[in-house]
Amino acid sequence: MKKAIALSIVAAFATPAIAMAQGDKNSEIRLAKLEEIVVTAEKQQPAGYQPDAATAALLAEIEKAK
Amino acid sequence: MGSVLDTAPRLSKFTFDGEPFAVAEDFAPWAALTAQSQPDQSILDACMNDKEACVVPSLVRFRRMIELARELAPHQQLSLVHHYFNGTEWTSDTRDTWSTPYHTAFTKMGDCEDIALAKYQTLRSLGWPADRLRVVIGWDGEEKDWHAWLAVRDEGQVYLLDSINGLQRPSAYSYARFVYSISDQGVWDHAPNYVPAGKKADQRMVPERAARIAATEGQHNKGVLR
Repeated sequence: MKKAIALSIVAAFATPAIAMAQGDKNSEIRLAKLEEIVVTAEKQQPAGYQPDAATAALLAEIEKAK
Repeated sequence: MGSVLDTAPRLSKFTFDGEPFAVAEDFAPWAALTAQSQPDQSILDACMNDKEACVVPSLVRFRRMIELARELAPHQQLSLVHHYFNGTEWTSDTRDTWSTPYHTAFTKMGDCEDIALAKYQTLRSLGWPADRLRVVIGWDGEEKDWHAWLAVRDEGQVYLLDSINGLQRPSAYSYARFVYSISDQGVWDHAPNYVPAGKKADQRMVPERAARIAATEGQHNKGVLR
């Protein structure tokens, strides 16, 4: 009887731990797949693009910094 | 296994909802970025503390940008940081190393995720909390390539900051799909049914771009400290 109780206690603690380990493993596998995505899009601000006037004035001031 | 176009949500539907499925430090490009950020940050801090320590004009300008940004209201701050880094010259890195903001500020060169990450880290250093910022990776249906944006929550609105143009709402991005997003708070999987097919998954790169990438491959480390 005592053995059965002890086993059920162990099982109660072990089951979430196994599930958590499986979840971690799944997360690792998914992360590894997402790491396969290589981001290379060529999207650069078009020449002559102007932001709003306030930001443009600040950018002009930054350009003058020496 | 479906194509990203079939299995990932439209970027126009992006929200900050949901829980991360993993910690950011377990994502290799983020972990590498974090490791490199520490030595880079000390150089940047020296420059911020003393203009004489800014070894190149690009860092002097970055320092000035931070000085000005600190005096601005949050939305103006956002606009300044966004447009400052959109002045970055595009260069590809097929190794897909995620550059630190210092690296991008120093070289003023990078590709879309470098620009998104530089905006993210700069806004964080200006006091923006991590739960209002997310680097989003997805498929750009116009470019037919993988792309990165910075999602920002400001004054109750969500903006997606592209490496071109001004601050845009998600509704402007019906042509794009998003797969995952990342911040200091973790990694979000927005398209769990999409399985990348391998390096350059889904990429149908036009030959002209492939040639430009090959040509710029050697430039990425030019004038760089590491």
